[in-house]
Amino acid sequence: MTILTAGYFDGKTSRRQPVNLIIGGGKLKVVGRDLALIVDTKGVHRSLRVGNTPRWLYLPGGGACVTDENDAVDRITQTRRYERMLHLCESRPAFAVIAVALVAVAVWLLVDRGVPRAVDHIANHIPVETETTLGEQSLAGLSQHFLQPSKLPAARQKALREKFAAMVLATRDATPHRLEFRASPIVGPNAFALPSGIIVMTDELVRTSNNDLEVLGVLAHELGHVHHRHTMRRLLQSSATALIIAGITGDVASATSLAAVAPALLLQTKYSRDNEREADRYAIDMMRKANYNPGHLAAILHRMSAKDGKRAKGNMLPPFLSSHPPTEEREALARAGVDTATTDGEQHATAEQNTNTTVALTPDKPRRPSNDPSQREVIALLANRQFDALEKLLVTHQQSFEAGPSTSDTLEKVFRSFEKVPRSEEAALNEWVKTYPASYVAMLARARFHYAQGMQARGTQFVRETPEENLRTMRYFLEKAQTDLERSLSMTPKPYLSRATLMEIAGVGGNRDDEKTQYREAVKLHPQDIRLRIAHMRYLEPRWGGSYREMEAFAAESRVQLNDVKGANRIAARVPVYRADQLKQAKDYAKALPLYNEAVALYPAPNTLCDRAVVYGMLNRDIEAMADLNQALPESKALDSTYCNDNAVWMARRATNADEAIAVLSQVIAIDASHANAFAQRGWRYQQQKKIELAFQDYHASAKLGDAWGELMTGKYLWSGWGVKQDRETALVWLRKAAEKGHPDAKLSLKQALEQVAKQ
Amino acid sequence: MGLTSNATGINNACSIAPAGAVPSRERILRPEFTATAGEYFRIWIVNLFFTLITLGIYSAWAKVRKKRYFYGSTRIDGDPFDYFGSPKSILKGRLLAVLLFLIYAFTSELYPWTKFVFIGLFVLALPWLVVRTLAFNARNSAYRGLRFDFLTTPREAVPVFLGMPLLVVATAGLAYPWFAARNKSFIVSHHALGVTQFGCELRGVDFYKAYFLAGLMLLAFIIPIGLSMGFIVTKIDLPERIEWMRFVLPVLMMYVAYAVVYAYIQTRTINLMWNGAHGRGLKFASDLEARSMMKLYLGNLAAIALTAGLLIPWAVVRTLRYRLAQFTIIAQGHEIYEANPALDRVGATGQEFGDVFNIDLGL
Repeated sequence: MTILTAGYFDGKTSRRQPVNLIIGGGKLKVVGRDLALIVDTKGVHRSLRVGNTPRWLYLPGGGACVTDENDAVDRITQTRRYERMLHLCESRPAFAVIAVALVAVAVWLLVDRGVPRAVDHIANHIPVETETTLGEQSLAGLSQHFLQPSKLPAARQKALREKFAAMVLATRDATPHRLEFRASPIVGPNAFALPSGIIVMTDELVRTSNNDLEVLGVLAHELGHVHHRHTMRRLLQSSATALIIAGITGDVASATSLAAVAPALLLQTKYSRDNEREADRYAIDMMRKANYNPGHLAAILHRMSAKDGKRAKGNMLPPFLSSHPPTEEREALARAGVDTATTDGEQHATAEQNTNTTVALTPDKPRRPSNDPSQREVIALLANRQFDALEKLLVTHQQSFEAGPSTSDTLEKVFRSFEKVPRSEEAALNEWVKTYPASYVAMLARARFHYAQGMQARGTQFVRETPEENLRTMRYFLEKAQTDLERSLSMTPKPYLSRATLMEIAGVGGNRDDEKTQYREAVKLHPQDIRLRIAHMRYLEPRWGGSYREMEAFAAESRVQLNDVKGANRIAARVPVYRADQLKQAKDYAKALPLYNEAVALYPAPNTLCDRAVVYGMLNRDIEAMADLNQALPESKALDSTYCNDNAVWMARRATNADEAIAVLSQVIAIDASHANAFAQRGWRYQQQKKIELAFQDYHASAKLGDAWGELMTGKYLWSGWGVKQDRETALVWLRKAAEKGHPDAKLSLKQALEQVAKQ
Repeated sequence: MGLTSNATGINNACSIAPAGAVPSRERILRPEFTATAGEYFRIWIVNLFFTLITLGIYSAWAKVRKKRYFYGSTRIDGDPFDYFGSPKSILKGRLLAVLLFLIYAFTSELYPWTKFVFIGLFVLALPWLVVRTLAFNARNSAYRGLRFDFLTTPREAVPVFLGMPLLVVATAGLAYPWFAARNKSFIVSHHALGVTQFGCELRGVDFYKAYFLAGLMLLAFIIPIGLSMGFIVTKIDLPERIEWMRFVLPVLMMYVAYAVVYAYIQTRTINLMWNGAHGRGLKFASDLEARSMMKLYLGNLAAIALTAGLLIPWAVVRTLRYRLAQFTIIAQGHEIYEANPALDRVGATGQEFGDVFNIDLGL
């Protein structure tokens, strides 16, 4: 028997009656001043216990009692197990602590594991039609507010599409996608993936890029988003997380709920950062498969962040609030890709000597030895791995260039040493960079080496006549050069030569905007430079996408800016030269000649003289042609330029006077001691003059340089013992070599020689 | 039960009042609030845990426990309130609301134009939703064995919950204070304890004054914030490591400004509402102070943000404690109220719609 104090309400009025509750024997007695109720305890409903709030006993018939004696009520009534458990949990502080930990774990599990899993599942089961509609709707929505039709020329769009398609094909990527070009001054340089594989790229991005490989890198990144269905997932994920947050904070005042959901939001942004990383990795992987340097992705990321700088919101946010990984982090990732790509490249380079099938690169060509003592010194130092001495020498050059208003000629000449280094020396350059990681000159040297390798593979033919293999080799090396050059920019106060080389790379790659940017940067570093301006003017020529008007405007601008009148004339002369070159190519020599004359009057550049010589030759005015050549060649030698050599040899072949021809050919050989044809031609001229010893020496020299005709003549001379001691065995070797090259005369000579040997 | 000790003097006085004097039968009743942050924390965290591991199913039970805790902890004239909403009907309502929300979210993502259809339908259904929500809540609340009630029909609510909002939109918000006054007086005056209806007369002018001052305060905050923001963004060169402060700082300041103005408008409208409300033999008074409310809200904000939400229970309890401490009931003697014998049960759907679509009814 238990007695409790309680209040009684009859359920009909709000009158309160103080009562005692007497419980026992299955009966509940409610006893008050003028009240005595007896009810069966089975008919009494009891409110659940919540903390220490008062308990209600609802009586059959509508009455109710309220009492503060919670423990007594629990004791006398049969509390259900879950009720006891709940109360236990809610009353012990220890349980509260455990509950906090469990809640934290549960939230984490739900948002970090549960939601992504569910999202994965749902994303993979969303019907294609739904996703297509979603993609089209998003694109339409974005187009309304942020995007405008692309202003890129159709040809440029087509080219980019084709390049991307080629890359996708090369990597056997099967992710369905659709490329859309849009202009968007609001969004700026960017690209993004929408559901159903729509990739939108802004004109601003194309303009920000230095070359198309960077654009391809960004597109590969977006394709990564498409492949992993990130957009769809993010959509589902944010709705799911929003629902969870609403559930957790449903009972919190709205003004404060945001403060409570911060951790969940942080997890959310972590997801989109993971997505970005995943897409980065995809892009790097794809670029490597396509044999492109992933450094391009890093380069454009770097530039995008640098250009947008303070405007970009992502940059202003602390890393944990930003949905993009910090750019440095992404660049590091891409760089890691670069490093592996570099080692890949090196493996290719060494594999090249063994097998030719796996190598995508064209073989290296022999170099002509340098005529310049300072260049020879640099090449020797590199060959002997004397990096300390190299550093000292080159740093002195760079410093004296940076210190004074001198020309860039000396500096450029020294660094052109690395153009004369064979490909096998790449290891030496890598070692130098490794030994001096912070050295500007080492980085620049390696870049100039790669640049030369790339340009050599490119050759001087038109793109459409250049084999794809050569173009691929060019791209491979130019990308390496570009990565190094961009890195080198911050290593010295006046990275003039890096800028100038970057300008050339951009120009050769057909990226006119970037070429101009690089030119402006370079000219800032060395305003009075003539060579730079001439190099830049090349890309203003109509065949590079420029126009005569641009060329003339630039010539006029230079005239204003330059203190050196001769230099200004030299630049101005490029306009008639270009016109003349076009006419020469069209074989309209009569019209080309006055233009060359005009150019020579402005500035008698050896190359112009040389071109005029060809025109004279074509017009059968050999005397004037020879005069031009004789004026041009010594200057070419002084400038260490081989431009004139082939033309000079061609002219020498036509010349009627053997002495004149020998004089020209000797000058050519003085410039380029590896010009096989020049030796062969001179040998023939000596033969004409019956100077057979000299003839043999020249034939032998050209044979050693691989000239088929030279080999044949050497073989014949040796066989017959002309101008040299007879040596039939060696003669057979040379004849065989020439015959192997398919020379018909050589085949015949070899056959006859072998028959003679057989007879004896 | 002798809990209203400050009123007992008056209580006794009526029996021993000297003849001839006008007996002051007026009693001042102050609500007694016995909830503590510690106790509520334990209930809250257990609720949260079960809600999470049942993927939200338990939230209906959690809601009932929370309501029961606060109702049971609030006593007027010695007696607590009681709540007996059924978790199952709340759950049914919630599931339906979530289902509709998902349909809304997906359809409007696929066909954006349907968003307007949904919003239109929702606006049209608003009077019904509000009435159902308030009725469900009222009929499941009780005091001294009598259920409350919300005595109106959706049709009666149309002018207040459909007509007025449209007017507010049409007048670009100028009619909002008037709407707030109408809205609050409608809600209070249609509530009833048993069969006895409450009343509430509010003057639009008072609400206009409150909102006008709130507007001035907002300006007083926005101009300095705007200026300091401009200053920070353009003048000060922040080191790169705290560069992000540029973005976060102004947002933080706006948030504080919002909390302050919100506290002010809450204070004024709650006071106005209760001071205009009355029942049979009852008058209500609320004298919240704007400054205390601001301190309370800002403190809550900081505490919740710094503890990742762990101090939510503490914030809820101390806010309720302050609001109840400033609340008084002036009772004329001992009125006896009668029950409504015809009170039928209502489902929970109405209210749960309101929860998911996040309408703050401000009660």
